[in-house]
Amino acid sequence: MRALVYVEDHEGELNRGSLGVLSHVAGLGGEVSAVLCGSGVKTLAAETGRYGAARALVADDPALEHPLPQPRVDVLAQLVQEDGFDTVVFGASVLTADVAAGLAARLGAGLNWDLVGLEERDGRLVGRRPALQDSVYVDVGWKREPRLALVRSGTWDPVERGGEAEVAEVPVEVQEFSRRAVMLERAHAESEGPAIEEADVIVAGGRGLGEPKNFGLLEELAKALGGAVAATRAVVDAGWYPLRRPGGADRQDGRAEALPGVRHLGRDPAQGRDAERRHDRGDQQGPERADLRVRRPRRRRRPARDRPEGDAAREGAARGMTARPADFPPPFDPSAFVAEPTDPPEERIDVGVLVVGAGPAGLSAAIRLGQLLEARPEVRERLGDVPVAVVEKGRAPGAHLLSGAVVNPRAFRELFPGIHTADLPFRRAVVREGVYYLTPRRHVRIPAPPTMWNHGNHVASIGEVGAWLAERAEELGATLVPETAARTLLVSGGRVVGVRTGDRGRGRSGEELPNFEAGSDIRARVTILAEGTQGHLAGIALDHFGLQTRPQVWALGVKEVWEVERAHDRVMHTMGWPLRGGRRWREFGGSFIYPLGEHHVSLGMVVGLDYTDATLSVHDLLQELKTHPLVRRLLAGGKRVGWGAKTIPEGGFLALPERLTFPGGLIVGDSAGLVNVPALKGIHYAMKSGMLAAEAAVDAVAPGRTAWEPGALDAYDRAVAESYIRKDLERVRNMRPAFRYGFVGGALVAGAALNSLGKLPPRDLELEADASVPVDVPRPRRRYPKPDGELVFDKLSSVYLSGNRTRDDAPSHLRVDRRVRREVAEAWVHMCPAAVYELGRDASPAGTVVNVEVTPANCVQCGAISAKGGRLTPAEGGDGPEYTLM
Amino acid sequence: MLTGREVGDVKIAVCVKETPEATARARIDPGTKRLDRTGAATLNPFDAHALEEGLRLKEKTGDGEVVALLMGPPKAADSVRKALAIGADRAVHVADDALAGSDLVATARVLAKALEREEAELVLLGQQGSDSDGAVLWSAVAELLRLPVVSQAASVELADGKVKVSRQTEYGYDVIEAPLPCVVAVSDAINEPRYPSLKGIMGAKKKPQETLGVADLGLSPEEVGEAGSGTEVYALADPPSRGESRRIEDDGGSAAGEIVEYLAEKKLL
Repeated sequence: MRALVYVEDHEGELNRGSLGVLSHVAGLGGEVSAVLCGSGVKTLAAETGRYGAARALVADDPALEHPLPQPRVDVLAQLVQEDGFDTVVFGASVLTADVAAGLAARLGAGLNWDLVGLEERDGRLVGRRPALQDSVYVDVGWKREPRLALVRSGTWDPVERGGEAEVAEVPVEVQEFSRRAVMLERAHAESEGPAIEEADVIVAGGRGLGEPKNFGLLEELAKALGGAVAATRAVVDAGWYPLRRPGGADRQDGRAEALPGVRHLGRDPAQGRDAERRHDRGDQQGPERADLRVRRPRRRRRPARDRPEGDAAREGAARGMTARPADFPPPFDPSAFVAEPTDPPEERIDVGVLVVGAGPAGLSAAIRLGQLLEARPEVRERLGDVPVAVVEKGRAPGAHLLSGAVVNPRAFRELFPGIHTADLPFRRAVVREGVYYLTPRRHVRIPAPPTMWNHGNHVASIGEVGAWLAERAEELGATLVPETAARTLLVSGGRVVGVRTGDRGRGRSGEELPNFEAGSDIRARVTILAEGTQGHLAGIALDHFGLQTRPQVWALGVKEVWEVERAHDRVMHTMGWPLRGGRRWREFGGSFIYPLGEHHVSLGMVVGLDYTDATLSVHDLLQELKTHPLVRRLLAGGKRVGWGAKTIPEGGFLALPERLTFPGGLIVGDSAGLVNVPALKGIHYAMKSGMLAAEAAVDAVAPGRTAWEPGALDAYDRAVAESYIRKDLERVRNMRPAFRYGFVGGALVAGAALNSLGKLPPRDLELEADASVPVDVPRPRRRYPKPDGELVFDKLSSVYLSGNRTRDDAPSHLRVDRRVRREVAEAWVHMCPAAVYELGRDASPAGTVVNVEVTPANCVQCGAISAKGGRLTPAEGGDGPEYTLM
Repeated sequence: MLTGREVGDVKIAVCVKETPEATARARIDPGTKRLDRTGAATLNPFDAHALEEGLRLKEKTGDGEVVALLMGPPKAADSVRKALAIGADRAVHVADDALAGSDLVATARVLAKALEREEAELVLLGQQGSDSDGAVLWSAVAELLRLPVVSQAASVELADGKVKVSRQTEYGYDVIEAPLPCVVAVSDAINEPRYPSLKGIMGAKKKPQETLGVADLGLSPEEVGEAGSGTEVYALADPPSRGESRRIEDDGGSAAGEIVEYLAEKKLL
């Protein structure tokens, strides 16, 4: 090997990082030369011999005075070409990164960068490079010479090798274009002392420290360790910490430096804008968590921010015998989300039919609209430039979709007549299935109730289904508008005339940030609300038009996707453990375990939110489920690759709104509660309702008609009532509420209902809102298996895997009472699968009112809090999880 | 190759790329040893800063054009559209099967050829890819275009046919000036990227965009992709274990002492 090592200098000293590289390369064997470029640097050259350079080549020229890369590329290119170096190695810095890449391009050579290892192995040079946030190490090499390597800063310390370097000057010929960039002012270090590259211990901090004064903690620690303080560039730029501590007598604590271009302390783009901008413990997600962290000391008490009359009511609720989440209503006023249009005509956006939500229901509506408008140009004509628009709050269609999912293809066949199953976005057909009753160690296969027969159905990822449907919708002319939250229902003269989208770029207290982008009015002739479970505007519309006369009830589903060597082939459902059958617990639910294609397994736990145990956590029950021998076996050797959570409307027929239409609009899919719980199905009802809504909408805007004249959209209500949606839901209507009588009682009523095709029991059972069911902290509390990071995970690792990129300095989109009874607070803490809620530090015992701390940035918008006494409102468009395989 | 026009109708080309959506799930395919780009992907967040700077410079100088240039597979068209939604006037998407596996120099070759066609006065790049951490591309692009380059730009000003850049280095801020045309790589601290407006998102599809193959750029398949790359990947390995971890919470100033104690216990001090 004939290696050339670039040795950088700064203010009369050789850079330790490059000397470290030099001595390491010298240790690899072969002849090593050092090269120095600068003006007046010749005197420094001999020192390179001590670190293993046999020759020190000096390019000394006024053209090299300033640390600009391009003249150095000229020097090195000539050296390599004339002296025949086969390897050139750089220690990375702002300057050398540019030199190395320029040289690689000039020579057409291979450059491997960010190396943390370089060695000869089996006769070839191998570099080691961390990738994907250092989660994997990649061994890299070169196909030909010269080989260029850029080594991560601080990888090797200089080792003295005691040699002498022969110093030689090399000619400097700088090309014209290399001289064009000129230095007007050059940065100078303002103080003496070791650079952070040279300090033995670095204590680094960023926005995570919360506020500038907390750098005091770092200084204290650096002082104790005899180290230096480093800060991320974001906080240096924000003025939290000076680029260098000014020189002076009080400067024994090292000095701070920003780390320009540094990847390792900087932002993690996966976490939205600033990974370091994390304020609370609850924010620290996933593998990037540091092993040691200093927490900002918390204030002991939050200021009371609530009204005195709220406190009075709260005291009453606190003294009661039982704790019900409904006694602590959220500070939420639905009328704040209903408004007249305000944008002037030149700013507002006019569309024909507006669909809110790009899920199976909304996209099926958009597709059906496209099909119908192709056939009816006279209607299309009336709808303007954008006949159909679909707004979606997720970053892309599918990003917020989550389901099991075993899909009944019926609605697909209706929407795409004649299509082959192979062309549908399914992973595999259901060939075998089984229902199991679990005890802590054993399982028994039980006969599947007919509602759960899945022959002819297909396992799919609903995210993939959504993305596929979105493509079809666009092909048919729909305009998709992702990362846009529909926030306000535009109502004028008693009719819905569109929506207003949410603002983006507001700060924590609602203030406008520099990149603030105000929401817009979207005016539409018909508005189809297809927001899925816990639909925000659907809820507003149901309330505004008084349509929800019976309470809806919900279940929370938490799901994981595992990558395995080979997936099992059976669609499996379990009942029993880890849920308890006792009547007092009201734990209704079970698990699903599906093969998602050949190499993935989808599994999830679903539990009705009318349970009574405040320490029940669906997230952790799913973790526990995986420890069962039956399940563990299916996941053996696998890796968790996806996580998510979502609620399911479970009320079915008994919770259907009075109507699914209002002047100017319709409600479809999960937003309307069209879910068949005993069959675990909702996707094909969602799609069917979307299609029916589209048909009614087109008729309602045909020439001579408008969607807000009385009865204009009634055809949709009639069509739903006459379709299989209503028939299926009616038949199974009493099965879900029966399970309040515990597992055995529920099974008896459900069996009777099933065998009588829904005629028994003769009366409709009633549903009780989830938030009205009292919760209690049992003794002993529920216990869950300890996370091991392989099979069993904690909530924060899960949130990290959801791809959640909620901006953490956004205003909170969660409305909850922050002072509630201990039992209610515990119920929220345990229920939330994303660790959004924490008990205040001073939490006092059950029966008293405690503080709840909220970390909205963790929220994956599952909607459970809306069922259990709070209210989820739309986060900023584009925020929230980014599900892929869900 | 380029003629310096008067500032006032500056033409700016912004190189952007698409990167996997959430690095939490990003993986390297053990077979090809390349980053698996089949999952959800997005406009590289670092490039959003370059695009933002381009738009601001255009807005400041009056008329002009911002062209987004993206090299990536056909499905990266979503990110092209995103760049248009944010405000680029036009987009060029270089997509070709032959490009798969391109390393730094091969990528720079493609971008340089595409940029030559554009004859932009100012070429902007982001600081790095969120997937590759490769913070070196611009210099290779500038070299192939034989244009001056300034990286780590914390501010960029255009005046009198020149660009003035404040560059952040290990030692503070340099001020560097170069005549146009010029290549500038911006840091992610330079600005706060804007959100796409609703009108922008809805109008993106209608803006001009072209898709080019390797042949359209006058390159042969041997010059790009894996064939045109001088580097190769041998093997993947797990990162070194980080061992057990412990959390120390500060309760009124005791944390520093506890951490020192812990480090001493581990014989790190």
